[in-house]
Order: sequence, then C-alpha cells, then structure tokens
Amino acid sequence: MSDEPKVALYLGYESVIGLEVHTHLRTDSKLFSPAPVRYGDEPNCNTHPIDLALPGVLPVLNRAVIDLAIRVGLATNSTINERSVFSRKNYFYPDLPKGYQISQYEEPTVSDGWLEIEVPVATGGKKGKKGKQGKQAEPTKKRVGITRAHLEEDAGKSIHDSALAGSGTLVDLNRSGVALLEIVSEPDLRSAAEASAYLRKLRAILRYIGVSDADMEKGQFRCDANISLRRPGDELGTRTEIKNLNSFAFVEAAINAEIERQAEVLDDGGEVVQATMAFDSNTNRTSVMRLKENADDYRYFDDPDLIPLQITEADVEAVRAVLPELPDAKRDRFEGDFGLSRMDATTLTANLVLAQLFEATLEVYNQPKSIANWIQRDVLQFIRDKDIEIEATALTPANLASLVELVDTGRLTVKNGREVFLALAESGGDPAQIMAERSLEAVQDTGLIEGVAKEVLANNPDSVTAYREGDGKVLNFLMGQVMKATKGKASPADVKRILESELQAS
Amino acid sequence: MDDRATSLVAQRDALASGTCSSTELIDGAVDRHDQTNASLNAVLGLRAEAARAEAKESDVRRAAGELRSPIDGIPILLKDNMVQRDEPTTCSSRILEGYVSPYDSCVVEKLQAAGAIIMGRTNMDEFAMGSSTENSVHGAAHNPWDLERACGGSSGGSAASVAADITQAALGSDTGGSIRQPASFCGVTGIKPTYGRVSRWGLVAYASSLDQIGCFTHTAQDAAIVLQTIAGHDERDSTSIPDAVPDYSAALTGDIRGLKVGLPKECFETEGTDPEVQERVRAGIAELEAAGAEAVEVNLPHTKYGVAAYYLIATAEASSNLARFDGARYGHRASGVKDLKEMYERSRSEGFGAEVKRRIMLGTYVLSAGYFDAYYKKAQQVRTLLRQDFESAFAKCDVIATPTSPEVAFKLGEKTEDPISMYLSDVFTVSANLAGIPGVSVPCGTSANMPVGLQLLGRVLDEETLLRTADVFQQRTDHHTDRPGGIA
Repeated sequence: MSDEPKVALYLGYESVIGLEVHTHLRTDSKLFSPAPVRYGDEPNCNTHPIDLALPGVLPVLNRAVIDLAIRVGLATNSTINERSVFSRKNYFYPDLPKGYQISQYEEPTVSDGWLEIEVPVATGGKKGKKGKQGKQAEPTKKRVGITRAHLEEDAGKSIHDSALAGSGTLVDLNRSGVALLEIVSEPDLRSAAEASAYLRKLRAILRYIGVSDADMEKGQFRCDANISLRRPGDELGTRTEIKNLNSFAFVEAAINAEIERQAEVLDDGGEVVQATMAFDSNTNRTSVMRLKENADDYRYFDDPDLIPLQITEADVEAVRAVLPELPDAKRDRFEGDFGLSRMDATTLTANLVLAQLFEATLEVYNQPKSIANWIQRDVLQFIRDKDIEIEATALTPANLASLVELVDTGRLTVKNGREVFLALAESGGDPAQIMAERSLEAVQDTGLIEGVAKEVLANNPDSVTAYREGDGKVLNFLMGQVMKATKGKASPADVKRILESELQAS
Repeated sequence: MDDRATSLVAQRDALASGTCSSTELIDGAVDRHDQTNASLNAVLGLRAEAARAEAKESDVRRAAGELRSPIDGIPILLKDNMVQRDEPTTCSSRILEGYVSPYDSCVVEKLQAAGAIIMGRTNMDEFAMGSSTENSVHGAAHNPWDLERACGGSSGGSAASVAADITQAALGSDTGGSIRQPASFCGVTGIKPTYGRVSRWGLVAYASSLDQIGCFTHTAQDAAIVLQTIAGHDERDSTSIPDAVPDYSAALTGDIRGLKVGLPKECFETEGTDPEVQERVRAGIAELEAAGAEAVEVNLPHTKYGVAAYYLIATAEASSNLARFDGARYGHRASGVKDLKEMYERSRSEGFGAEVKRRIMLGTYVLSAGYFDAYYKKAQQVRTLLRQDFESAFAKCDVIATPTSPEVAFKLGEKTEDPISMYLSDVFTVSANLAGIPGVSVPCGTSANMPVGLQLLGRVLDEETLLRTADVFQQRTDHHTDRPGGIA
C-alpha cells in the first residue's frame, strides 16, 4: 500500500492492530450435526448425540456452509481454496464435550483477501472531541488485508451464575457446534477508529451477502483484537490479544485502553509481555488474563473423522452468479444513478435493509432526494429512538412513498407529515387516510390563509409597527400565530408569502 | 463333533428347512454360553430374555413368509464397543460404567434390519487397546483352546465366543489386527474389510483413521454373509465408501486358478517368528498353489516401520478421541472433587486402565508442539510409503499371504509387563490398517495344539478375492472345523 496516509501517532507510538472476528453462519443446523440452530430456547434442547459427544458419534459436514464461505471469500476479494482441511484443537473444558474443537487450521477455505474501509482523517495530536459536523475532511480509503477465514464450531456456554448453579457450573450446549467463520485480518489497522470502521464494514458485508445476522448482542459477531505499539519505522512490537469484545463501543474503548497501557509500559522503559488480555468496561481498563508462556498446547492434527473439503471452480462460479451487490458498489450506484451526495449514499447503504427500503420506495415514487431525506432523517431517528430494527417498524415502500408524495405535493406540511409518519411507522396504514382521519390536510385555500393573516395582523398592531420599523424577526412570530390558527395545516411558504404581501399592502 | 450347528450357513439352512426355530437357536446359544462362559469370560452382557423375545418375532415372521433376510433369526454377538440403543456399552472400561446408549450403531441397525438377533456384547481390551483381552475391567477373556492362554485382542471375546460355538458369528473391530490376531489365536475366520467399507457410526473410536468393523465366523462362506449384511455406505460416517457392495457369496466360485499369491519376503524373514507358525503358513500357501494359484515373491520394504508408525498414529488419535471421557456428562465421575481440574484428573485416573493411560500419554506427547514433526508427521510419511509398498506389490499379485501373528496364543500374563513385546506381535497386521486394505485370517493348522492363522491381504475393496481364496482353502482343508477340546 504505497499511498498509505501519514502514520497517526498516539503519544509518539504507532499502533498496529489486527482483528479476529468470529461470526455465526446462518444455517438451519449445526456445522457437524443435524441439531437446529436457534437462539433463546431452553438450555440443552438443541442437541444431538453428536453435540453431546456421546461414545460412537461422528461429525458430518453441513454442506450449507460451503456456499456461505464462498460468498465471504468473494465479498472480501479472497482466494477460495480448492482444498481445505478440518483439524482438531485439543483442550479440556466442560462446554467443549469432545475435548477438542473442530476447526480449520493449516488449510482454511478462504485466504488472502482484502476489504476497503473509509478512514476518518486523523486530526493529529491529542485526541479531542470532534468539532461540529460538516467541517470534516473527506475520509481516505484504506485497504485492510484479510489473512484467512476459516470454518469452526462454536463451544457451548458455561453458566457460573450462583443463583442458577449454586457453587457449581451449568453447561448449555445449544450453541455447541454452531457454525462459525473466523475472519482474521492482517495487522493493517492503525487506530481504534480504523478498527471500528473495519468491523462495521465487515458486518455490513456479512449481512448484505446473507451469511450471518451478525447480531452482536446474541454473540453472533465477536471480536478479538491483537495490538502492539512501535516507534514509526521500527520492527513490529510484542503484541497482546484482547478477547471477546462484543460491541463496537467496547472494541474502540478496549483498543484505546490497551494502547494507553502499552504506551505507559514502554514509556517507563518496560517491555510489553505477550499475553491474552481481558477488558473491563466498567473501569475502562485492560488486564492480563493469561500469559503466552502459560498458553495451552492445542496439539492440532487433521481430524481423521472428516475428509478434506473440496471446492470446485464451478462451485465458486455458481455462487458468484447469485452474489448480491456489495455495500461499496451499491453506494457508488446510489451516488451515480440517483444524484445523491457521497454521504447520503454511504448512510443509505450502510445497512442493507435501509438500502432496500430506499430502492423499493423509489419504485413507487421516483424522487430519490426526497425519499433519501425522509429515510435518513425520520426513519433512522425512529429506529434509534425505539432501539429497534427497520424490519420491526410498520413501514412499507408503498406507505412511505405515498407519505413523501403527499408532503412533496403540498397536501401535507412537513410538520404534519411527521405526525403521519410516526403513525405509519408505529402501526402502518394509508397516509392519506391517516391524514383525513386526523384532518391534517394542508390548507390549500389561500383566501382562507389571507383571512387568518389579516385577523392576526389586526390583533397584533405592535408587531406590525415593529416590522415596519425594520424588525424582520417579528415575521416569525406572526407566522407562528397564523400557523397556530390554521392548526399547522397551512404551508409555511404560503403563510410567509401572504403575510409579507399583507404587511406591504396595509 | 456334537450336534451343535457348526456354521452360520448350517443354522440358516436348519431354519429354512424347519428343522429348528430361531427360539431353539437362541436357547442353544444361551445354553452354550452357560456351559462355557464362566471359564472363558468372553461374553459380558447376554441379552437372553430380549433375544428370546426377538426370536419369537423372527419365528412368527418366518411362519408368515416375511423374512427380512436369510439370516433372520440367527444369533450374533457384538464387541462391547458398538453401541445398541438402551443397552450398556463399556468398552471394557470403568470410565463407561453405567453408560447406556440412546442410539444404535449403524451395524446394529443393519443387523436388526436383516432380522439377526443380537445376543449381547463381548469382552475386549479396554477401548480396543491391546492384543490379549487382558486389559479389561471385566477381567481377562480366556482362550477356549487353552484356558491358560490369551484369546488375542482386542476383539478376543468375539473370537473366543465363535471358537466355543456360543454363536456362529460375532462382530469385532480391527485397528491394528484386533480381528485377525484373535481369529488366529482362537482358530476361527476373521475378516477386516477395507477401511470405510463398514460404517463406524456407533463404534466407539480408538483410532479413527484405522478402526474398521469386521466379523468372526468359522468359515469364509459365513463371513461373506455377515459382511454382506453390515457393509455399505453410510452418510453419518464421512469416511464411509460410497461404492456399491458386491454380492460376496456369489464371489465364492471355488476357482482360484491363475490367482497370484504374493509372498513378501520381509514377512517370512522376520526374526522372532515361530518356525512352526512359518511351516503351517507355508503349507497353507502350498495348498493354494495346489488349487491353481501361483506364488510370487513381492517386497514390502517398509513393513519394519509399520509397528512404530502404527503406535504413533493410533495413540495420537486415541489421545484426542478419549478426551470426551471426562466425567462431565456420562460414565464414571470421581466423587468429592473440589474443582474442575480435580474432576478431570481423578475421573480419568480412576476410570482408565494402565494401557489406555499409557497410550493417551504417548499420543499426547506425539502431538505436542516441538515433537509433532518428528513423530506424528514422520509416521504419516511412513504410512504413505506403506501404501505405496502395497500398490507396487498388488501390481504383481492378487492377494498377499503372511502369518497373521508371529506366534500362537501366548500365556495369560506372559506379556502384560512388557508392552513393547506385545506391540511387536502386531507386526504382520498393522500394515493393512495403515494402508486401509482388507485382510482375513483363516485357520491353517496348529502348533503345540494351538491354532495358527494364515493371513491374506487384498486390494482396496477387493474383499471378493480374499473371501474366494479363503473359501477355496477351506474347501480343500478342514482346519476351520477343528474345535477346542479344552471346554465342554
């Protein structure tokens, strides 16, 4: 990467970050057993003898994951290997019934890829609160290498909750054997912000191509971060790994905390010790969980119960033919085809469902800018306020389109349009009907507005005088009075025009 | 000979002609068990009542003309490492005490679909690790030919049961010779099919890349029938071979004229092979020549590395396969433990016997960082060379003949203190497992009144030629009809 932006330094150090993301693959059954993959069920009900590692059972690869792994490979510009091999990673733990995890090791299905992120331009110097929006420089693009993506099984869950388990530990094996793809990046990231941009991009891609819901709260998208510091130009420093970061906020906070910790160690003339770290979100600090020298020897070897996975060129081409449009391509198309700004196009394509809502609404009512505005302003606000997904609203392309059209054509003011929107988003329905039921239709009759305007002026002689003496601000007050009298149903533009002409006339 | 049925074919024909019922066959097996098992300790759990009930159903089916297969109603025994629904499986280990399987192994499904009646389970070396059936929590099994001697292992209970005519067929598993060697020691026919020919679903794993289920019978004809029943592709075993199963009985044409029998000089020059064993085996080969086969010399130059490679690969896989026996979910759990580590350590220390512990430690070592390349990887390379040895040899011959074991059955306790000498007795059998090829051991006479086995090895999936050759041998000799005189 020759045109890499200038190295961002923090306390004089360059941070070098690589991420390992574990994402659940969206399959009906587990990676090596026919047990269903479902969340929130009674503990241990989604288990097959294979998941319990009963004597005599054997794993059988769920062929559905092959297609998903190919999709990830294609979407991350990676090599999809003709041959990949499942190995055993041996260690004892109660949530690992076999005493080993089946995982690809030396020969993963996907390797050598990259994806592009947009990096906020470093402000340099100390990290401070960002200034007002709009003054931001255009972000720079950066390619982040993807070392590999390998298939493996998830472990079960150990429950140490004393209310449930007393002094013991309970084990729930519903998750045991669920298909995971571990996506390992190169150490190409240089800040917590870059790491976050990478994760958001990766998650958007995974959702776009339908391989994972990547719901962080459900543990479907988990991240380990490898971090080291060095003086610019130096060799790579000793790295530490922070395990199990399950929200974007934690990832950023944990990386920053670890950078700070390592910088302090180095500033004091110390050495960073290779270790696995834990992040405590309450104290915002990282601490050593396990030193590398105490690391387990996993005694990897090829699983003799499984045969190598063979993927043909034809398999890859079949998936390529039906691979959905990726976020970057969609963003570029939205920019080009619909004349949206880069920022609008980026916002609308960050989430596939949002982008789909946008395009489907356009098919009903072809006004890209109006619809983009409504989606970015009102739809996003609504789901943020309610903390829900778009799918959980009652919005449809048809009802959203007719609402936007009602506003665009002046039948609804923007203010009343929002009221109708909230009703639509909450419980659906026909905007025109909601408008009629709540008698929100805009007053189109300018004669009526004129009458109200005259009355308002007659009742507010002081304001009229002030206006004539050059106090333009009273116009807003007078407009407010007219709007109030017309119950918000008059268009502000009409009100303003009529008031001005009345003030001049009288 | 007495009036006991002396082969599975004889039982089949007796049922077909109506001279006996399945119920009578089961009663006979139970009687025979009761007469002999106290001294043999070959059978662990006799399902007398369940088997009688199933025999009644079989007799009803027969009367109604709704037979599931020609062996409907015939009793058969399972080695104690093949699970059967609602029945215990111990693998002769304390660690599986009290374990009852909630599902059937593939071979049980197939046997039951054929109407065969599972009489119970047979004694074995713990987790199939051993060559004498002395490593058993249930105590050693004894050789019907001489109760002071081992019946071989690890499928010794199955071999002894058939030798003593408790049943005419028993299943075993063969990881490094565990069917062929006990067959040789007990004077019965034992076949280990091609790796992947019989599904391993429900076979408790010892070494997954080597384990293969096969059977013990008195004759090649009987072996053909049992193998026909249990062979075939199974989607639950990814290493199962998809090829259609040929008609094994039809392959017994009685004609081996022109068959080339390869004699690997490495197997006849091995020091430590009993000269009398050599002699019986050579006599057996001469019999094949007399039937029109041609003996040719072949080379298996890497045979001498086979035992070392086998014990590296098998123990490595075993160390991982046996990790699931941790006291957490089933089987033996140590009591009064204070934490997780102690639960693991004590449950496993108490649950596993000495040989299993030895192999788990060996295998763990073999896979450890820093040793993997020198041991496990090197052993895999030897495995490739052995496979190539067989490919070259089978370019020159159709079957390979060797002794099954360098010696006849040894005395119980003779080798328990010397595991290496026990391991070395696997020298002729392990190569077939490493190469994945089929092998059969047929009785070819006795030495000092103990049976000697002739081993025939074949090409991948060529069980037909092996069975045909073994059958021709048995048409011309009567070693397979010899019975031990030592027990009732």
